[in-house]
Amino acid sequence: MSIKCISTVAMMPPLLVSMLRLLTNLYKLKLPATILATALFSNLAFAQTVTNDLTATSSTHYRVSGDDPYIIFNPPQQAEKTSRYLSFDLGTHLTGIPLEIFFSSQQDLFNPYYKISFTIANFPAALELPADLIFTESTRLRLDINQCQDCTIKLEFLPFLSDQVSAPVTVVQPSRLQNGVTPLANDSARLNTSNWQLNDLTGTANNFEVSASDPFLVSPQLTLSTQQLAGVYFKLKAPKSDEAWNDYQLFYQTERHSFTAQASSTLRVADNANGIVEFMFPLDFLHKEQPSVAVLERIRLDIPEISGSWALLEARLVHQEQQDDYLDKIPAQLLEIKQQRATGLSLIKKSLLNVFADLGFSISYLLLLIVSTWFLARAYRSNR
Amino acid sequence: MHKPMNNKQFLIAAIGLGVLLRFALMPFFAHVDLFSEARRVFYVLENDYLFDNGHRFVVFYIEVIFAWFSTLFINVTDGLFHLSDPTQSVSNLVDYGFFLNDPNIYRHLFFFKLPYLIFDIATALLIWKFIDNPRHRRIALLIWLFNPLTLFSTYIFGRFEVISLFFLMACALQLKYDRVFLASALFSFALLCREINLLYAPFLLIALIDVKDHWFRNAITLSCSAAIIALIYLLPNWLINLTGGDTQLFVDPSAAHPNNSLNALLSLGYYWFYPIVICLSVLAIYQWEIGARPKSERFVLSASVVLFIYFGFNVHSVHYAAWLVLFPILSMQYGKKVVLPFMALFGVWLVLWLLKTDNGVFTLFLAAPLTSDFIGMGYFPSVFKQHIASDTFTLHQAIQLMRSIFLVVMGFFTYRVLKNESNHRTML
Repeated sequence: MSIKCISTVAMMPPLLVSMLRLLTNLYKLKLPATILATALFSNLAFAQTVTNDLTATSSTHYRVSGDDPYIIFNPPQQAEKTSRYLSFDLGTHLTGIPLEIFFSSQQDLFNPYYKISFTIANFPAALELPADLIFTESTRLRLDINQCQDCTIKLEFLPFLSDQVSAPVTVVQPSRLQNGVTPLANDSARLNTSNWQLNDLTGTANNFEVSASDPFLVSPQLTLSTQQLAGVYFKLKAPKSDEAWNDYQLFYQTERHSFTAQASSTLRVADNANGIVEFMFPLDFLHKEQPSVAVLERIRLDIPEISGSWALLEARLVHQEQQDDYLDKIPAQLLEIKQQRATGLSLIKKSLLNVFADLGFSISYLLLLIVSTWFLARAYRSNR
Repeated sequence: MHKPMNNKQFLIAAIGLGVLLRFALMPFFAHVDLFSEARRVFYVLENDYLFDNGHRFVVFYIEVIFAWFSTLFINVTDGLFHLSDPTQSVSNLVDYGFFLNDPNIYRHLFFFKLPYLIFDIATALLIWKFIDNPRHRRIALLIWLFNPLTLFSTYIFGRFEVISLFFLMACALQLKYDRVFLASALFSFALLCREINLLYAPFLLIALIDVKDHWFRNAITLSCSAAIIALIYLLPNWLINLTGGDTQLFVDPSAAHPNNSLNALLSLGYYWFYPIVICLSVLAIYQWEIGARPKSERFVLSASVVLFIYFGFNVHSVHYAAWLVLFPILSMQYGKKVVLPFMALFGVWLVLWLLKTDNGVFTLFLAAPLTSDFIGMGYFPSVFKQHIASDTFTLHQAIQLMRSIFLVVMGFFTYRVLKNESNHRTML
């Protein structure tokens, strides 16, 4: 890992101010002169900037030279506590590239659960910051550049904080904000069902009908720790189906993956004549995966294509302390596709545990082997 | 002083170890095809459609009986084998996933394979009875009990080939005792297990001709045998139709049916159809020319070579290779030296399928009943591509190379089976 520190000595302030108009025209930023002055001055004055997997190709350009390119810096800021934008100009190579800002650290060790994800279509640009994020003078940020092999970054000035921007700076919204992890409450978390997104469904989560072939509901954004999570419980009003059995599938998005069939569970429940269907998808295996603390960001429930009136009556994230109360809500027919699989010894151990889980079978099977061997030996001896 | 095993001890030891080995495999391995078969069986049981489904009648009803027997020991999970549409009985991976996660899966697999075990061991006993030479019968028994082809296809892949092979074995045994009509009846049972056995039919009929007999007697024998085979083969479908049953219960009407039905029956690539017809015709002439030999010998030798021709030009599913095992083993009765060709076959079959497999045929997918973590654990073709393949030696070339060697092994087998027996002591 190559770490390069950039330290630059401050230049003469009068000279900088005289350059200001020139730079403003040059970059066509049309930012207030004071902002740019602050940015430039701060940048040149005390940039305790750290780069990783970035190689300088000139005094202002860097090339990605590894798998984990990032820059750690103190963002220059115009107005402490009121900054609403982080402004960038990183060059054309980074347009459309997924970027992440990590904003919580101790001695440059950044917490992965505090980050803003975004993509910029045109530079210069300003990332709109959520109102509840407050950056102080000592705040260190880490800008991660993802999925950008061999591209070049322009770094004439560091990203800086401001409370306003003006055209032609493009204002971009974060595609995702993760502001820490909320532990799951002991008495489980009942999710608000009024603000779920619907796909191929008409109406709201509280009253909807299937309108096309891929019906599903997506929860609002969550930032819940999976450490104490036992599963997700649903209660729905469902119309009568022509089928005797219906499949429901749960997708769960964590900070490591979005919705994918490789991280989903499917269960099969009997069609219910009284119109109420309830079940729980166990997710207690998530805390056994590595890293053990994952963040549940959203869940998605795919429902069978049955016409008629549906309603999501209840959705609940069940804490492990309440797990026993929901065991009878786990259908016998359950298929879990997990991101992380056992290998080596743990695979053998898991296989044996599965076999011995059916104790009646295990005992009968062992007895069968013993009795067969005994008969074999007896028959062999008696025919000498 | 150490006393060598007598014949009976050898039989007990071999069968006993064979059974223990089979017990060890039965509950823990399966291909999704076994679950599809189980769904059809339980569909019939759940809905009392006992007088429907004329497809592979014998195998199916043996499985139905054992599945019913298994319900005495297993509370079948509601909906586990549910089929909303019987014509769509081939399972997808979601349905199979439910089966894999069923707490009773090991019981289901054990009981579902139990008839296979019984017919497998019964076949072993008939082989023992068929071969007279004590040394040859020991070797034949060991090959049958411990060959990887039938072990894989029956207890790992989980298919019913041994039931069909049992009836073919019984047919050959009855021919040995000159019970022609019983042999014909048993042959038609084999036909009701696997349609591919139709390939043997002309060779069975030719084998029934005794050149020392009057032509009229031969004509009567042939006509009666053909009638027995046809009647027994057609009887189930006829009865089902007569009682208003649905012989097409599990047949998907939307599935594409090729125009050339014989070609489709043999599952052949079109360009291989005519070479096989030519080779089989040549074999029929050869069988006519050895007309002075016993009926069973002529049938066993030609039935062996029929499959060498068929597999030499054509590759089917991995478990179909089990068909190759029976008749060459029986040819040992006539002094044929087939041990070395068998070893070559096991080796080439293993390498060919390691290269040729997809994700679910010859991979750890088959161990998924132990834990579904085995699904998608990787397979040999990807290892080959990563570490062995180059621009000049691709996976496709490696498969074609092994296919060619497979054809050579079939040729080797044919040579050993058709060659007149020598007086060499070795069976290699």
